[in-house]
Amino acid sequence: MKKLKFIGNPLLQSREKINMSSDKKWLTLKTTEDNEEFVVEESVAIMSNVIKNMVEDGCASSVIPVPRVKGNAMGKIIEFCKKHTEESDEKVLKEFDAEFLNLGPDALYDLMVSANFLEIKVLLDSVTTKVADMIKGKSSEEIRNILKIENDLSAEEIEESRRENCWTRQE
Amino acid sequence: MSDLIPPHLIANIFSRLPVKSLLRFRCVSKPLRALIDSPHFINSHLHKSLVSNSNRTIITTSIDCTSICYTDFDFDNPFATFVNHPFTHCGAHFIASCNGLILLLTAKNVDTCVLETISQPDPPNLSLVLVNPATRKHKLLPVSPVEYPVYYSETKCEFVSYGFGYDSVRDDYKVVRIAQFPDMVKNEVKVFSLKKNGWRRVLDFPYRVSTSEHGVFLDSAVHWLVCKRFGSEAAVIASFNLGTEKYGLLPQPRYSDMSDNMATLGVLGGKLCLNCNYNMRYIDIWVMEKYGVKKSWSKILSVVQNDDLPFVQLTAVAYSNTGKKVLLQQDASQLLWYELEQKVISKKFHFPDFWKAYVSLESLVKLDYEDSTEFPWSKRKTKKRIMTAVLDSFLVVRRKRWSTNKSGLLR
Repeated sequence: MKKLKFIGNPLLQSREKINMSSDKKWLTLKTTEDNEEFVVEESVAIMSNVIKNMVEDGCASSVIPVPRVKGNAMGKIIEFCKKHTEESDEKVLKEFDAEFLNLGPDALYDLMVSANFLEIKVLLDSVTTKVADMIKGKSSEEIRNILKIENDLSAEEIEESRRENCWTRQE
Repeated sequence: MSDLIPPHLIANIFSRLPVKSLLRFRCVSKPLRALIDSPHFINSHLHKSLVSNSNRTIITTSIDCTSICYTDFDFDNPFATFVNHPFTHCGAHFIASCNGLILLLTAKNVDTCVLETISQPDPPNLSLVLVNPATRKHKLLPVSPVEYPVYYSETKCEFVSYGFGYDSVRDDYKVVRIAQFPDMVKNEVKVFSLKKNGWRRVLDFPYRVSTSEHGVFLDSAVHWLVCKRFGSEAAVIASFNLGTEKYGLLPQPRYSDMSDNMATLGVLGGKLCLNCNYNMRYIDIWVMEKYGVKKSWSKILSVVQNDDLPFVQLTAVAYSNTGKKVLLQQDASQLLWYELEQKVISKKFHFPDFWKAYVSLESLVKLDYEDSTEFPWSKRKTKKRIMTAVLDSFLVVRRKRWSTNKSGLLR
């Protein structure tokens, strides 16, 4: 018999092995951009409305191709969905989300676009709230740089806006 | 709009931003300005605030009606912003707030600046003003005279009571005015529509308003404490639905103590609430958990007169974000947090010149419709006050007045 590496409680480990062969459904998600495969429980995967619809319509085979989502983002998404399926304590979930979303802007952007594509409302709400918190104190110029927005307002229009709202601290 | 993030995600993110940030970001680009100014976005932002209880503010009015201030709900920021509306020279009574708009009644005639006492039976020269303190826009409402009953030519009205709320069916903000006449004379009711910018007389109010307190808005209807008929002591709650313009009646709780109960109506956590003052011996605060159901009235707290908390009146203002604390107003002196489970007071806030406090929120809701006019405020110094916070450990922060420095930035 192969020597198994036990991480954590050995009893739990063996229980997990039993569960693998029970009637829990498993899906394989394959990111078509970088061909990474992820095996997840169906109950976790259906947090995504897109995958849920595919499963309910019966068009999900054992391997589901997922376009437009990169491997790293998929891994993070599965980690998020798994935690939110297992845990029901709101306080614990809040702490988990805060830690989970401690990412750089590029990773956050990937996560946000992927969550939007896969229609995972809980994740999308968390990420957009985090992004909003990050940008709320910025100046107009910083917003243009961060979100890559072209400035198409004339100097007079900007000045008029500032005068109307001149009581705000920045600018 | 953005080369990085698709427009609907930009809208999603921006609808979670505070109003101050959104007003600042109006000068980022034209598409972004169009988004922030669009009715759909304004509604979406408001809806998110209402659902998540965010962007809440506490509005405080001064005793002499000369100042109205608002502060962030969390009180972590010790600054209160002075609402610098153009009629501060007239003084203004706060009537009600809804979705970030506040309704004020000037204490003086706006043209002549003559002081009119509210106790006057028919104050035709006072003006109603709608203000959005966050966007600093206001609108003066047209005056509508009270129509006296013809056969009672000598009868003056006892008092005038207002209500303000949102008609979700017509997407319209409405002001209700009840002119109460003595004896058996029916009370005149007029409704102002912000969309149509005009007053309309509706069916007379079939009950007698118990006190001259203004109406309380909840779920498309404005509510008053009333007596069913003249001479009747039995007090109930009357409702006027802004959409259907129909009247209704709601029961009060089954009180165990019927003596000396001075009740005032309010809204707490999206439900009707009654602050029952038993002749200053003790105060019970009830909440109607299920609208219209007498059995669902539930007593959420009771405070007995004691040396640690001597009071004449205690009024519930708002729940905390977690729902575990209630913000109470104690007379005209301070606000305090009452812990519901432990039944103790955890924090007190003392305000200078304080008369009453109301909970509101910051929103981008506009006052302009097709026929109405809107005036941005002229450039004035925005004064900020620091609230003196009297904590349990008796730390006191001294009051200071702030003003803008030369470059126009707030110090």
